[in-house]
Parts: sequence; structure tokens; C-alpha cells
Amino acid sequence: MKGLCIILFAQFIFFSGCCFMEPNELFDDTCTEQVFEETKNVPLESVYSLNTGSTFAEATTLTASQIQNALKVPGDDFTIKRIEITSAQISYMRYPDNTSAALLVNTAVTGNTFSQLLLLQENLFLPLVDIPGTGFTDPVNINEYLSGPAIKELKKILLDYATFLNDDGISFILTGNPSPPLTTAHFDLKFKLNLTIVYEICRFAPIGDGIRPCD
Amino acid sequence: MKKILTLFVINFLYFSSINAQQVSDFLDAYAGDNAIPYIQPLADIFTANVHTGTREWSRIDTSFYIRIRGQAIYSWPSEKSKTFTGVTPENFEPQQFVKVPTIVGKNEAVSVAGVNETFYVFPTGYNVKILPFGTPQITVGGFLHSELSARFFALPLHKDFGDIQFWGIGARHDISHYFKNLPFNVVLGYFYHNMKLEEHVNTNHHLISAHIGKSGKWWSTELMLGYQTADMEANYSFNDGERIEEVHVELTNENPFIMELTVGAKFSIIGIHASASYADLLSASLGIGLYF
Repeated sequence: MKGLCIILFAQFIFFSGCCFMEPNELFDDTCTEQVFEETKNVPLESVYSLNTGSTFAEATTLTASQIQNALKVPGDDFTIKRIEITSAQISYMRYPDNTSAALLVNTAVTGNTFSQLLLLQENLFLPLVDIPGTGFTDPVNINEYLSGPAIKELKKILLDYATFLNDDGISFILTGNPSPPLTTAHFDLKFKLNLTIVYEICRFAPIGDGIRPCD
Repeated sequence: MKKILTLFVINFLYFSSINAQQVSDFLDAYAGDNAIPYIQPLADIFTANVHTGTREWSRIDTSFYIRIRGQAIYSWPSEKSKTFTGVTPENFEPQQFVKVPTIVGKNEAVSVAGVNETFYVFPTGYNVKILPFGTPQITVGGFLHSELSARFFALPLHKDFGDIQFWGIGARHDISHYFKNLPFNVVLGYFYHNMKLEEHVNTNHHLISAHIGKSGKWWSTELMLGYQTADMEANYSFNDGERIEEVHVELTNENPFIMELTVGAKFSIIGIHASASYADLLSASLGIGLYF
């Protein structure tokens, strides 16, 4: 009798979780779908190819669906609360026939639903003398050259793209000219905005851990 | 009995849910300098948790005995484990050091302002108020003034969750029999635990303990003082939006000392015990079993 007792009790203790009950049934009383706040990092990149000895104007367009896909959080049940721009960076790739020592550039963003925003200081001087000949350079921070009001406006625009369907894309425009004048600027130039998305998402968690129960 | 056993099962599945459900989602908040302090509380809490309730009876009998029991263990993260000093990334200017949530901290995104309307947002914690766990344990003893204990379970969770595997083995030796007429039991012990959660988490925990206690026919009480170490590996993918970085983090616990008070009672073959431990954080355990 004692042996039987041991065997039955041991079986019950060691195997009850595997065989007797489904985890989902056990969770019902202690866990529920609740709202949690999380963050996600997203870059928005535009790459320009320059091969000119005079004034240039290049545009990279991001379609609405490209933006929305970039801002999408894995899973369906999420709500974006805000979008922050953490930093702006630029990197270059120089071609052998380049003779320019610098670029004077203007970077703007434009779309059908808003007027053009100048993202960087006007005629920003970008020295290029130390750029290696192969591959993109490490990104260089250009946060100090950003236009604060334009960044503030761009965050609102991106939030609009994230929160409701907008059929229009936005274009990142690079204009400027090589320096010294009449030299050849032959570069690929990558402009990157690092975004952080703050969103709310439903997670299955112990009751009370989340901000509120999911709808 | 069934209710308590159900509670036990709920506890370890509930724990497993927290740590396996979206393991990568929970761990992948950071790479770099902030990664270790963000998940450090997990190493400390797991270590204190598994080292609570390891022994149910003070005296090691000289005749053979076997005890089979299940227990629930709860740990409460300390206030200081809920925050750490995070540093902003290199691409954010100016660099700032900010008090931000760890993985068990508040579910609030702390943001800091940089130049020209830039902001950096630190990842949130998950507002963990309590960490429950549960484990079966079998103890055999009565030979060479010693006893052996083992804990084990391997569990396939939900198909999206993965498998959890946990086991532990320990031994105690009674040294009070070397002394004549010692009015209390003095026992030395060691316990090893390992837990694997798929490829994401692997932990090893060691506990060296000294137990001073007293037992009667139906009751037992003891104080345990212990030294505990742990090494924890966490593997996850960190997506900075541009590239996915495979992150391998190795942690050790920062709470090496643990003390625990245990009381137990036995009615016929039914035994119960309760323990409370402190290792920079409070843990408590409640168990029931058959003592033969």
C-alpha cells in the first residue's frame, strides 16, 4: 500500500503538468491579455548617387506602403503611441574619379500632404577628403546640423503614416553642388534617420502586470 | 490536496509563460552596454528562487526515509533591481546617463531630449511584481548520516513557447553526530540546479549551505545560511532596425549570500513545510508531500 501510494503520488507530481492539463486552461485565472508599452528601432534610409561637376538635385521616394511596413510592429494587435527621431547620420562611398573635396548640400523632405521641410542647415558643408575609396564609411552623426522645427514636424507626419492609411509617399531630396566648383563629385551618399517607435501591444501576462486589459 | 497540486502546476507553467512565451521579445531590448544591467535581475531572482525551499526537515534520520513533495516558490524583485543607470547610444547627442527600468521594472518608456528635437527612448520593463515557480522534489536519506535530493521536470509548453527543462540535485550531511549531546542539528549541504529554455536561456546555480535546526516527532525548524553562485547565458537577436545582431550575454548573480528560515510539520505521512529566504530580495516557499 505504501509503495502504491508513493508511485501514484510521484506520478501525479512529476507528470501532472504534461499529461493532465493544458497550459492554456491553467493560465485562464492567473494570466490574461494585457496592454504593455514597448519600443522598436527603425531606420529610414535614402541613398543618392552623385556623378556631376555642377549643381545636383536627387530624390529618393519612399512609398506609403514602404513607410507603413517599416513602422509595422510584429503581430497585429498594436497601437503606435509616438515616434521619435533619435539621430541622423550620413555615410559615403567615393568613386576613383572623384575630384571634389567637399559638398555643399541641402536635405529636404516633401510630400503631397505637407509642404517641404528643410531637414538640415542650409548649404551644409560636408568635407570629403578623408573618405576611403571602397565601401561606405561608418555613419557620421549630423544631429547638430538638424533643423529642430523640421524634425518636430516630420515626427508628426510619420505618425500620421503609421496610424492611418495614407496613399502618398514622401521624398527625401538632396540638392547642392561640389566644392571647389567645377570639380567632379562622384559619390554614393546615404542619409539615415534613426527612429524609435513607442507602441502599445497585447501580451499574455499575469493579471495586473500590464497597463490595462486588452479590449 | 488537488488544489495545492494544481496550484503547484500553475506556478511553474505560469513562470514558464513569463519566460518562454516571448523570450526574445523580452530579452531583446538592448545590445551593448545596457544589455547586461537590463536582464541582471533575472539572474539574481532565479538564483534566490531555486535556492528557496530546498530542504523540508532539519534532522537527518539514521533509518531510511523517502519524501516526495511539490512546492510553490515565490520571489519578489527588490526595488533596487527595478532600475539601472542606462546610457544613450553613440548616435544620440549629447550622451546621457539615465535611471531607467530593468526587465522587471516599470512598463514606462523613459525618454531623454537631445539636440534639435531628437529624443532617445529607453526600452520598458515588464512590471514584474512577483516571480512564481514550482517544482517537484524527491529526497532519500538515512544512510551515512546523509540525504540526497533531486528536482526535475521537462515540459513542452505551447507550440510557440518552446520547451523548458529544469533539474537539480543536492546532498546534505549531518555533522552534529560527530559531537556528543549537541542540542540541535547541524547539517552541511550542496545543491546544483540547471534550467534551459530552448536555446535562449541556460542557467547553472550552485548553493553551499549550513543548516542549524531542531526537529521533534511532528515538527521541524531550521535556519539556513548559504553561499550561492550562478552563471546564466542568454542568447537573443537584437534588431536595431537595420541589421539583426546575435547577442550572447553571460551573467553571474550579484547576490551571493542567502539566509532562510524553514518550518515544517508532519501528520502521519503527510508533510508540509514553509520557508522564507532573503538574498537581497525576499522569496517564500510552501510545499506539501508524502514523508515515509
